Amino acid sequence: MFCMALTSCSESNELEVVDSVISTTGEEDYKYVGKETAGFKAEEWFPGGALGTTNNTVAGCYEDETPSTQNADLMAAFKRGELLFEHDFTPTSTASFAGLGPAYVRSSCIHCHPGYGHGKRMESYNADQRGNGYLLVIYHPVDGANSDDGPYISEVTGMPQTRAVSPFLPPVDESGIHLSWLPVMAMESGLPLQFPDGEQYELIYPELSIDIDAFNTDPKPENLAFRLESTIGIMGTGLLDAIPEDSIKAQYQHEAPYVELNPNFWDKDANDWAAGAWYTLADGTKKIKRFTYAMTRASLQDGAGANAVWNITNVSRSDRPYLYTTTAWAQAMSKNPDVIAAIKRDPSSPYYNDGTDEGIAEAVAVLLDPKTNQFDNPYHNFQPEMTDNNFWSFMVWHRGLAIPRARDLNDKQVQRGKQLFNEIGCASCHRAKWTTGPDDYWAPSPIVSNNLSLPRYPNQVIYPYTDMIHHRLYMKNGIHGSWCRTTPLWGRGLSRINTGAEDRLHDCRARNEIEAIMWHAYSKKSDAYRSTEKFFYLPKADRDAIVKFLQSI
Amino acid sequence: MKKIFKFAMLFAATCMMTMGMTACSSDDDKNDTVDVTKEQNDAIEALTKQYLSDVVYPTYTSLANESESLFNKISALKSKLKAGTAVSQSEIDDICTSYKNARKYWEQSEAFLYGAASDFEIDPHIDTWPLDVPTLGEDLADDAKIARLDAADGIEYARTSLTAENLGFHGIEFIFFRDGKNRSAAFFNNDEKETDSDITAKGDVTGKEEVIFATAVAGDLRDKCFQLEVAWNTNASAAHKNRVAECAKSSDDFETKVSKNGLTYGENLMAVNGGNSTYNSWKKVVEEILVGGCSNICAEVADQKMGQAYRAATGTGDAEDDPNYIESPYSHNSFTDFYGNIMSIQNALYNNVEGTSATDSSVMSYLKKYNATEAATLQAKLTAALEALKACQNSGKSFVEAPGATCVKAAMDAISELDNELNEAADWILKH
Repeated sequence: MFCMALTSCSESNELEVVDSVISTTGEEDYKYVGKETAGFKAEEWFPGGALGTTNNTVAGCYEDETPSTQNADLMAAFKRGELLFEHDFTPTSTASFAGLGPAYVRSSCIHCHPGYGHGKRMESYNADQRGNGYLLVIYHPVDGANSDDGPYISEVTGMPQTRAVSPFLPPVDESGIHLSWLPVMAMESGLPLQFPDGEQYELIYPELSIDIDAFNTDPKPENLAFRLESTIGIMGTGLLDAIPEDSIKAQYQHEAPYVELNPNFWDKDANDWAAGAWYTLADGTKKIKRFTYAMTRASLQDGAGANAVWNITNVSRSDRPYLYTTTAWAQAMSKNPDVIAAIKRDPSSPYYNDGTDEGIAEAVAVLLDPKTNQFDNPYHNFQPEMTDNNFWSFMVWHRGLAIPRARDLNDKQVQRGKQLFNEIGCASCHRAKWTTGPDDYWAPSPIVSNNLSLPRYPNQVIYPYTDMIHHRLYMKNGIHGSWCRTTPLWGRGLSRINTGAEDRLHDCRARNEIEAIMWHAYSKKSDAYRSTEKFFYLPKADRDAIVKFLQSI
Repeated sequence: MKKIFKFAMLFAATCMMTMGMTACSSDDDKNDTVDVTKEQNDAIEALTKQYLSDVVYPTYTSLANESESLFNKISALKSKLKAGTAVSQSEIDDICTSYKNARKYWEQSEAFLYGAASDFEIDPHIDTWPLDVPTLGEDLADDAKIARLDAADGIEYARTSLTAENLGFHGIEFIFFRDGKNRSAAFFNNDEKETDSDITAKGDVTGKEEVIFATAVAGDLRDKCFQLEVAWNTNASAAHKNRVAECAKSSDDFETKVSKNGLTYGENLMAVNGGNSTYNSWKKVVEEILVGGCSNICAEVADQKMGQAYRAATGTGDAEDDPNYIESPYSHNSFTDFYGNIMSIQNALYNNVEGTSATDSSVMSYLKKYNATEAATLQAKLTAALEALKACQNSGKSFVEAPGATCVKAAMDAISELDNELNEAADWILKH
């Protein structure tokens, strides 16, 4: 499609002149943007395609809307969604931001997505601290006391809450959470912590524990293991939603002969989807999972953001009438004398019931239970706390976030980096290029029934640098579940200017690109070991070139 | 934000042409585009140095000093009230004036919110609204909490224990202003009861309790303003540096350096030539000043600060546009805030503070030299935006009283046009 050396003089002499030999040293990129350069097609300057890329590359660029959002005249909704993302919810406050709790993970979305980017590496878990994008992962380990694998505990929510609205206690008391960062003394793979040319690197990893007494649940959990997961950037996710399932399937088929894929997702013998790859959406539609580290969600409109604006804050809406809580927490609160006494002093409380200790306990147990419809129950019928229109605005904003253009593709070092990135095999999983389909996106009832639209990205050539497939790295204290979707690399080089930090990997353990890369070779079992081993033996100039490339895409 | 999409849209147009295309002579390109010259880079380096020394540093220093003064005055008020000594209206008025001065310096810093204010989350820490009045009422009515705020470590307690919405400027504003007027000394002297219904719903609250709250919050505000100054200016006062260092001992959110290179934000902006900056070229620095700084605050003022309440008041937006989303509603200072924001853009373009024209070494003068037409257009849009806000200030009604006023729409449109022109100017500078 992007034929070489094509341009037109007839319509406008402003059209770019393709020059396939552009390769500069130390020269800024502005005059080369949109031009083919050595090793890069012209389209690669616009990783989100014409409809999904912002040309802005400075502070705040992660916050930009896509051209598609502007073209669709959705800017008012986009700005409204931006407001909902950036502001704190409170229990009562003004209408748009009310409804926080009764238990919650954070009071706003932006707490975990500083500058709309990846969370920052932190020394402690603190739900009040903006930029601290950590979620606790608490599970019953299998295959050993500190295995990465095992089912989530049922006593607290999958994303455990450490805050609650008075008079309730948080399901997990933060004072009982202990986080330390430990150095890797030797890689399990045997690769030294020093490159052959003598340059050293350090790897650190988190060790997390939580006191049993910190759990305000009944019963308290047993046999636990703990991990941290940090948020990832949210820009460009609308474009990933627009990748056709057939294209993703072809990628699975392409990789399956060479690497063991998650059997829950891919049936190697049948060369087809396994049952676990399918997700059933609210209206019964079945789609292939593609979002979150663990790939638990299939549509952006039912993805991490659409859920988070409900369950991180516990702000209900018409299609989410249930609380994000657990029965064990509801039981503990219903048996807590201080909780009962506080409610007894306030007859206006929705949990007051008949005002007796028993009646209050009964109301608390039912109303805090995740199986209770908050809008239709015998004790107190709450109203939806977020309107359908606000949810739609939020999704316009979410789906409307642009990917910043690439930088420095004219630069010889970046060009060398891309060449090496391909040669040593990084691109096998960090697949560069996809083409979106018609983008007939799925949307939930609050959007569909009100005939509301979202930004669309049909037929765009995009460069997210992910294969949309699970792989395993086998890191020390690795990711819960072992399998992790290949993280899109687009735009990550602008993390520092947008967030003040550039920590990478699922728990922010990598403080720079070198550490992130070398964690891929912690174990010889890693899917990325061979590629990373090649990286390890590259001369410094070539390692630096790959880093520069990563910072530029 | 209305960022530049020219490249991408142009690219899309190119993609659609599939047949009959031939390459133009690359001379066209060369004729349109002047290579970046040493002269240009030297000019940008010089104007950046002056941008820091004559705009960023003095603005943050003024903010730090005035916030310190505000804290001292509120602390003195607290001491008097606790001692049973009468305070005069002029003392209250003095606090209100100090508040508005600090407020002005803060608003005039919002064209450079990139960097420390964003990286260290200082902006949301000190300038979040609307206020969470019900929670404020709970806190003020809570004797144990007031006692903690009154203790020696009350500032740190405020920082870590109060809800984020009630920290910073607007918690203080609520206590010293109502309905656009300074509160009366009688309220504080007589220990009268608070009358705001959201507060009284939570219990009886006295003026003295509110001043205890305000003192701790003002102390936190001062510390965060110190942090801003110290994080940008290597030569910030030793006293302010020491206080920030003291705060850092007990709080992990008092960083002052760019984490990648250990430089202050001012040093980082100037370190392009040495290769140690997070900016890889002088043009990138200009892009940051114009787009990351000036354009971002333009969009915020037009679309959010003014837009939300305007659309709610006029029914021109969504039903959920929030009528309470109004900054500075108690002091009726909103239009002055917005004017300060656009003045911060002028300061960044002129390289002076509230000057009447651009200094010789400034973004505006750079533009005048290389593209006088664009400079004139940008100047016209800037003047129009300031005049539109001045008209709002002179309308006789505050923003909270008339958010749907015609002058509001005129100002929003003028500020949006300024935003577009800032991006046009950046686009031209970067490509030439």
